[in-house]
Amino acid sequence: MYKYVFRRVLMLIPVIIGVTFIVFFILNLSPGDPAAIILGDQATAEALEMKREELGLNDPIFVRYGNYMVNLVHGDLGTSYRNNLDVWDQVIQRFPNTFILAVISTLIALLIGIPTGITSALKQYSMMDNISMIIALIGVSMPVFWLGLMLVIFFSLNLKILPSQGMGVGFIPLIKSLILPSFSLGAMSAAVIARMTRSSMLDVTRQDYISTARAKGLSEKIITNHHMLKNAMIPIITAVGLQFGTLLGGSMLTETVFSWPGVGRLMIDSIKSKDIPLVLGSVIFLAIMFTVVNLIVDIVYAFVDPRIKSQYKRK
Amino acid sequence: MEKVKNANKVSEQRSLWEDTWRRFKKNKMAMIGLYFMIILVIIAFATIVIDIATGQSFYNQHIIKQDLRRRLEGPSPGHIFGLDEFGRDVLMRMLWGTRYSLFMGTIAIVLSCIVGGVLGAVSGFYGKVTDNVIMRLMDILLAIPSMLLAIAIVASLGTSLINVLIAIAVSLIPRFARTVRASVLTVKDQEFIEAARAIGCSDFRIILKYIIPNSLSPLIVQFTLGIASAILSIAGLSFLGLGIQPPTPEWGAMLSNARTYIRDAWHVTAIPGLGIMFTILALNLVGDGLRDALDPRLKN
Repeated sequence: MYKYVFRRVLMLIPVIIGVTFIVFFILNLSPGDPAAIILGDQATAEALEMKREELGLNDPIFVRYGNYMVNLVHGDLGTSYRNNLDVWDQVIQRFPNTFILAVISTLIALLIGIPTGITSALKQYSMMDNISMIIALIGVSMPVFWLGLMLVIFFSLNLKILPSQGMGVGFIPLIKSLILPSFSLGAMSAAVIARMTRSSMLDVTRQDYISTARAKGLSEKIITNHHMLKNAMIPIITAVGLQFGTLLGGSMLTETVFSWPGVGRLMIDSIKSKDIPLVLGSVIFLAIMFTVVNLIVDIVYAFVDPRIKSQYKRK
Repeated sequence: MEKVKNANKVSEQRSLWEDTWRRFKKNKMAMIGLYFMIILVIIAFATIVIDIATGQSFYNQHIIKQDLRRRLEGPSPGHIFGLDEFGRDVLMRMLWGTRYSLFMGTIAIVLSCIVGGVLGAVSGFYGKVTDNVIMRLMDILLAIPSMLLAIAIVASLGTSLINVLIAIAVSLIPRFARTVRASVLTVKDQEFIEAARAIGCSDFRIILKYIIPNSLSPLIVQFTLGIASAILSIAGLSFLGLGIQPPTPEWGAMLSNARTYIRDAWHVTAIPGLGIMFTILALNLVGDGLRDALDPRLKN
């Protein structure tokens, strides 16, 4: 089992190298000259050349990438062009905000998605099933940022019970300011998870061992809880993990709607101010987080699925 | 003899698609989605025809021209969706915006379908090192959230229609590569491929004539669902100000501009979002319907 975990962790290294290289390469395609951005329009050609040399922009891209990665391992993502602040510090300072939003959203998605999916599957084609699947389909089709804005109109502007933007300080204001963003971020995941749970449960229902369990005379409750749910859980866990990763790496829309001080919004703001080290730092950080979450999901998966476990025990 | 063979082949082929269509038609929700999409396509073409016929003057008069005295006016019989922050008719702008979501989504998906499809087919067909190299590259692309990748591309290349297309297309390539590769792998070792090779077909011909038609059905489903996610991504990019720029009436951009006035006029924000939502919903319904109709396990 540890062999499996070790192998998966090792496989992470080439993926992270690949991901960071692609992001680094894409952001270096940018036609703008960073030296000109820092020094402004008035700079002389000589000053520009010196700045380029100082930033290492005259080196080939592989050399620059190598230097960047060596610094990254040391927790150094360079300094921001605009305000000369350390990029790593800025990203790390914002990350807990993105993380807490993703965790709460995933919890909401789980609490809504899984029970809905299960009841839908157990009562297939019932009124309840049809209604919840239509709602789930609408949920999958809704732009996240639009749902966020609609929630703001209803709860903040009309009812005036929840704050429309920013992050509250202190426990109660924090919870209050989390409700709208996490719900709008979690709604789509809830819909995805509900659909996934339903189809996974329905797949399991058709298996022979369920018929066997029925033939043995087990009660429906035991069949549902012990035979169906346990088997249906495996693909659901994957779906939940993927959703968590997506929420972590894709929260910039919600963060923009609610002015949430997370990494996503930091990235969007730095794109607008053409602050390339900050863009690069936040994109690479989010991409690495996404990859790590996927790895954790894979490992959890192996612990839950006895088939993978036994494969590695025999060896 | 030759003719008889051909006739047989044609009738079989037609019956496969007829079969699919028959099953698809039974699915009421999917049909509603299909009708909705047909209406949208007609609207998109009709507005383009009007633009060409009037030489943009209608466009400038009704879509772009501002009337600040009547800004943010609510829905009324004359303007059923109200007026936006510059006093332009929201309904008109919605109609004229159809083409961006629809055609840009489709073009992006066609691009990524071609590139991803070729990569997947080559990968599955040749296996070994080729497969390994291509699929590891796809794994890496998949390891970056697609919205993040698209944002990085647009951030670097700048915001233009073409760059947004490239960004969305690149971020969706791995999906198609994986889908095509999986179906190539199931088809590859079957007898008719061996037969084709035995009569001396080139690899290119085998892929084009025998492998691609046989891996078409999962590709069609991915294609429909892919357009939906491309439209969502385009709207998202425009919402962030990184996609299509104002005053172009793209739905995501309309929403983004109207956001500032959310306190005074909810309709300007709500309506473009509803447009996006119904379009995605229709595409999802068609995609789900196609998946069921093309699934051989659900026949009869």
